[in-house]
Amino acid sequence: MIATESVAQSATDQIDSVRAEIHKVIVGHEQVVDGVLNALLAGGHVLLEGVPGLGKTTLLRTLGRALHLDYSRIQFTPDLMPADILGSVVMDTNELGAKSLRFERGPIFAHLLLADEINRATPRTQSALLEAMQEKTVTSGTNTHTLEEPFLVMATQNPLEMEGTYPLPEAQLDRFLVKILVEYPERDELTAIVERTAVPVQPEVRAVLDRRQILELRASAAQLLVAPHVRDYAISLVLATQPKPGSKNSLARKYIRYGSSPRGAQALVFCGRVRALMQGRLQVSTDDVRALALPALRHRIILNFDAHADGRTEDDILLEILDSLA
Amino acid sequence: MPESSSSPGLVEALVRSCRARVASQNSRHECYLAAGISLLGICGLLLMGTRYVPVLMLPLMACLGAWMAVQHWRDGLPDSYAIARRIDSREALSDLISTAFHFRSAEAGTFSRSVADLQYQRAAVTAARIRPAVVFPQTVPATRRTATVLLATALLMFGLRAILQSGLSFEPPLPTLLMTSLFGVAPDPPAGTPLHAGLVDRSQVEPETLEPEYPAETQPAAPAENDNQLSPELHEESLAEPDEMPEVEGLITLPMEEIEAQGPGEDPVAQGENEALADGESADMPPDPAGDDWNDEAQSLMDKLKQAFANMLQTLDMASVETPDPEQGQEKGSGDAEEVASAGDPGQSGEADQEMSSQSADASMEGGEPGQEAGETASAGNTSGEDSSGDQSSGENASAAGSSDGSKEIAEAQQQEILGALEQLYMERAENMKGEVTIETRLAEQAASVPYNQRFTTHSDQGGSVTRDEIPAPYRAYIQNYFETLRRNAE
Repeated sequence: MIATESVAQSATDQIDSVRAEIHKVIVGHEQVVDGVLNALLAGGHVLLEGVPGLGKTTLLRTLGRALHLDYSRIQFTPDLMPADILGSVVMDTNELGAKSLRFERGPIFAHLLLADEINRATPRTQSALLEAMQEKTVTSGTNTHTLEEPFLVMATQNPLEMEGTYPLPEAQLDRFLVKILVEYPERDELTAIVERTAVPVQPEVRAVLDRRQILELRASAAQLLVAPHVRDYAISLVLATQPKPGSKNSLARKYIRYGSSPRGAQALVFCGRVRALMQGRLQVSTDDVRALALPALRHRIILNFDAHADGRTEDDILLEILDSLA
Repeated sequence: MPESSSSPGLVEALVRSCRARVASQNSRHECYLAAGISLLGICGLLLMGTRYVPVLMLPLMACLGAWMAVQHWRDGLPDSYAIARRIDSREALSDLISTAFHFRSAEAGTFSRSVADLQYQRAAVTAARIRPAVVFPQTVPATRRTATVLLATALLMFGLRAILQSGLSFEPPLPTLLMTSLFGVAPDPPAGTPLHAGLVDRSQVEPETLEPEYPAETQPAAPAENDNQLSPELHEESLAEPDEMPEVEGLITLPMEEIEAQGPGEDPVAQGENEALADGESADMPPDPAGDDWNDEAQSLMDKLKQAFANMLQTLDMASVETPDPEQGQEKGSGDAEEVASAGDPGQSGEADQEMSSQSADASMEGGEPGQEAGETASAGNTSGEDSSGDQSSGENASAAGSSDGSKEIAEAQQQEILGALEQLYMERAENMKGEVTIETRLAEQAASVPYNQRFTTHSDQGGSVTRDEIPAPYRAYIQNYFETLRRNAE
């Protein structure tokens, strides 16, 4: 609980320490690292999209090492089945010969789940994550198993234009709190990557936060103040993405087929609080909402044919909407 | 954290101070606005003078400016929360002040009070170093520039008035003063006589320029009034047959011999009419300098003319229904022929003349040469048909045509004219006419190339009938008689 100035400062320092451990391995990608930490402390899930080789998996694996949390990884392939993720019921025989059914937990029972190349699995397998991501539970037969907090799904996907990929269903996309695009590194960043990986001794990543501290940070972030005009700004932003017949935003009517769901507004406020905490503030500002608009909303809007024909992307349209609301 | 910086009310004090500065700035702006509006009234007064702008306009403009200023000031003053947001925006404080200001007075329950207090302490520290004069500097309102320009304009016009006039008077308009002093061509009209656009102050014009050839007692009425009160046909009739008017009650005419004896240019009425018709400027005739007497006389003359034409139409109705008297038929027949010849098209009048007299018919077919003098006397700008009407009048006097000659053609022409009016009504209806179309084909298999939509409606539903009110009033009696005649013939 944030009751004194020292507690607030301590929360910011803890986040900085995790960030520093990750940057021992990851060069650059500050926004990607902050986005992943933001999703972790906001209680959501993160989807990283980028071409292979940009360090997506390395980033998430490093995050798992920097935290004292259970970590598991699933490589999604076209023949992966839901039971391979969730677990399955097996017949168990004791020493007396009595047989009983026992649920064998799958790799989803962890605090940090790295779903690598999630869009290579079929939609049926992808949808196996729906319940776990939203309700934090797994149902097998008639039994429902609760996942332990914190539970963070860190998924990576290749661009949809690549061969052998299946687009994620809209319902599952909406369950990711943020979608972060991993761009190519700059020249100096690439130089640092080459120099850092050329040495024989790899940097050692320490676990600086445990489960209890992470939950406390989450609780602290949830206490930050959101002024009415900041909340209204987030709501206006989400409404501006919805192509309603009476909407004033002509851009949404022209290019957007489906706008953001209410989860978009929730994501803006939740992530805004964590961003404010990471910057040492106790209040969310409209600047936080603007900074988080792209990662929180870009995967929640679906463009129509006109947008694709005109070469418009989700980021282009969101930036124009942000300009119109400024 | 210093105790002074975290003292309660620091954020509110900052917001209050900044709001006072915004209110002050807005007040200055609105004061200049009110002054500008008041100066606008003064400028209008100095420009147009009290002749056009009453002095009462000054307090009215001042009240208007004050009212607008108060309204703008009240609507434009933001509330304290908006002021706090402005402070955050101008100082790049990431909504620190506004959040603290809001949650300081908000009811607990939806947020943590401890976090709100901690956040307020941070905001108070920041508020202690913020200078309201820096955040909201007092700038020159844009309305001040406008008010200054208006003030300079008012002073300039005041100075011009003082220079141009021996004794300072606000009564005449400033342009009049300027024109008078520079060119001396626009003297002031008498006080209390406002001028209207399009009229010339005739008292200031030289008497020689007011059409001296028109005697005061014989000047024609204003042509514009005549044109408004008479239809073109009736107006032409009045020009073409002055010698027939004594037959009708209330019509004053001159004998043709007197008109011819006066010679061209001596008949003031005909000359004035001819000039007006030839120039096509009948509406631009100058008003009568003689004043109301002549207008009254012209008005009474017009009343008599209208009465005469009404009697004439009634006489025509009686002539078409009743059997013509041999003695009266000559007069009526000749009168009707003249009316048809003058009102109808040239071809019809030519035919009527041919029936009446071969001499006059030849004259009409050749352009009316034998009756050219009379035609010129009646109207210099008439067409050949109108000339033939003049020929007819003179020819009838010379020849002893039958009393009933041409009455049938006259009646037919009149009937065609009136039925033409009815046809016009039907043709206007026919533009939007919808109804049933029947296509007759042979008894064989037909392949329709377009979709066929059968619709049924009645003739009356589509506006096929004409009510009595739609028929022009002068024609009603004739049409009634016409259809009664048809009914009798059918019986």
